[in-house]
Amino acid sequence: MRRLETQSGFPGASSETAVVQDRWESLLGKTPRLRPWLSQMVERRRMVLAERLGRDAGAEIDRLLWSDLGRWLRDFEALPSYAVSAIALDLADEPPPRPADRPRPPAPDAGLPDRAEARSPENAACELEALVADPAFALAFHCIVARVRPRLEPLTKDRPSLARIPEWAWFGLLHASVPAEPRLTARVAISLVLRMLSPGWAAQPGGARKAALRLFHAGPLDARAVADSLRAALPTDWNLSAEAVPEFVAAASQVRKGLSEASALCARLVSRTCATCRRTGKPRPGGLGLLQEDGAGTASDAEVREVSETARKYAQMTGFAPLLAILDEAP
Amino acid sequence: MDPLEVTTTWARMLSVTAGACAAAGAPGPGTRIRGKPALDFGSGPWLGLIDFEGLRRPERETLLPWLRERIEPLLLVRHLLLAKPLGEEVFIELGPRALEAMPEGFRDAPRPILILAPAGRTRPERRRQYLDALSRLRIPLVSAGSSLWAIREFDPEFVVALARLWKDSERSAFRASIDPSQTRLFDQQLPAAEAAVLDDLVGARDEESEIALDVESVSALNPDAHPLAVYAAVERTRNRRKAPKERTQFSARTIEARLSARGFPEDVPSCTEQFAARAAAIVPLLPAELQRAFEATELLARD
Repeated sequence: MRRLETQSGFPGASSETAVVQDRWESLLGKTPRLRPWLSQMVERRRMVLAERLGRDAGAEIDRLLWSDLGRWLRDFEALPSYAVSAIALDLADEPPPRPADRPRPPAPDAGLPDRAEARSPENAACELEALVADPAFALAFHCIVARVRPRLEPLTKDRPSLARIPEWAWFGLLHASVPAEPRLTARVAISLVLRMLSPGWAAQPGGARKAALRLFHAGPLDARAVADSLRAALPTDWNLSAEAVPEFVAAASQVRKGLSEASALCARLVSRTCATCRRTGKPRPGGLGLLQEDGAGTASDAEVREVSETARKYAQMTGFAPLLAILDEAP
Repeated sequence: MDPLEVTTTWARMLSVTAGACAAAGAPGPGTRIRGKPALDFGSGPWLGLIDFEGLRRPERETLLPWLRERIEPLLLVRHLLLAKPLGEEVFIELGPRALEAMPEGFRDAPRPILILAPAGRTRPERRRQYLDALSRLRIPLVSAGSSLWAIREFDPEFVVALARLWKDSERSAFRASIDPSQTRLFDQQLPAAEAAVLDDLVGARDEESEIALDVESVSALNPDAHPLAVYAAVERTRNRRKAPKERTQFSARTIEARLSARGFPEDVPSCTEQFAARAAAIVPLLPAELQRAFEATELLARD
């Protein structure tokens, strides 16, 4: 049997760690498929700890690694053996981590973990572009550009107190306001594009996101009662004064209206694509084929011209071409 | 079965891995509440009942081996012990693997029960059938009553597509049908999509939402209440404020309340000063949140 400490990246063993080491070796003996995963986890964890503590803190890093190994061991030992085998198989199937998936240090409020997929702006832009290559998401993107952004721009321009709140924060709040649905609907498509447009939101601490979401859904009566503790929990760079809270609440109401209008517009455009495809007998391309009609009326020619305008502005988004090919035909 | 529709399946796969959920509803064992998974509020795995009614026969035949051989253990490591699928009749029967894997004494005590229902495929009266059948059972597993039973809905088309892609022949055919520049992406996305679906089934990818915030605050005020019981109370208080079309019925208590005509209209008590003072010391709330938390706490006490 291979000893744990002979594997690359493993912490040095001592008499204090012997029990954990023996139990791991027993587990790996029964589930050898888990070994590569464990090696990878230890290497990644060591890299993170070295970045945080410095490469000279070898002893402290080893101590923390043994603590992690003990915790993981308890989790695995609590599972039935076939489940450990299954998870090992599942882990072995996973692709190597992308650079954006590198483990990050825990957030200050570790009880409220950040969304695991908080990404760099460059990565988020690439993912958005990949997503809107599908006509369904190009359509959702257009609805946000055409109905949500026009509501948002004057709000932040006319109210200096809200100017420090970035657009992605509003988009993140709107995303969190859309109820989760298990299937791809027009509303889900809009919600997903909002998520892609708000990479900075996922990077906020969980406590700040929660406080902001509570304020985002507050009514005018709530606005008067907002406690200092809630304001203090908001993202620090917003610097929202007590006097600005009612303005935020009013702005949130406007932005939510923008989202309702975007959803309604999306439903009408979906209706139009369905009507055209029924008439021509052509299938709806990509994700458009998943979006169901919900009894909304059909989009007008003026609304179709708006889509053309957005497509012209965002020419790199390839999902607009198949969308316009359908919308340009009479339903 | 017809060949898999490549473009829609591919679009759905990308959307799920990008963050769209493939299952939603009441909390599952993986849903985080007050910073910890809902599982931590009780002991042992939850019982999962997947509903096959509403699925077509070829879909059932595709799902059955995939669930049994591939998914059952992967759900168990996510703390959901899957029973045999529900057909026309609703009853609890554990398969051989579940019987082998369940912790000792699992069937001797009440457990949270999560019904996985195919979204858009079940008849409106099906929810009542779940409730009637579970209420009729005289076994310890269900003895805590409906406050521990709830529903999550899943995307049946996508789940069936994943089950089909589990087979080598289907996967190769699908891979050959997509743009060659995307085959490597497909190889990466397929396991990621499967893991995302499993996480969605147990609520592990649930994000912050309005209702989740209420569940957190009511749970903080009632720390001994099970997350499903808290969710039931919160769902009912939120339904009171919604138009009929927007109301949800994911908690068995919500369904039960509606069936017994206690759901609407209900007497809505006003928050007392005593409750407000207690809440202020535990979790400071805005006035509207405080009123909802009070109503939910009253419902919890009544249940």
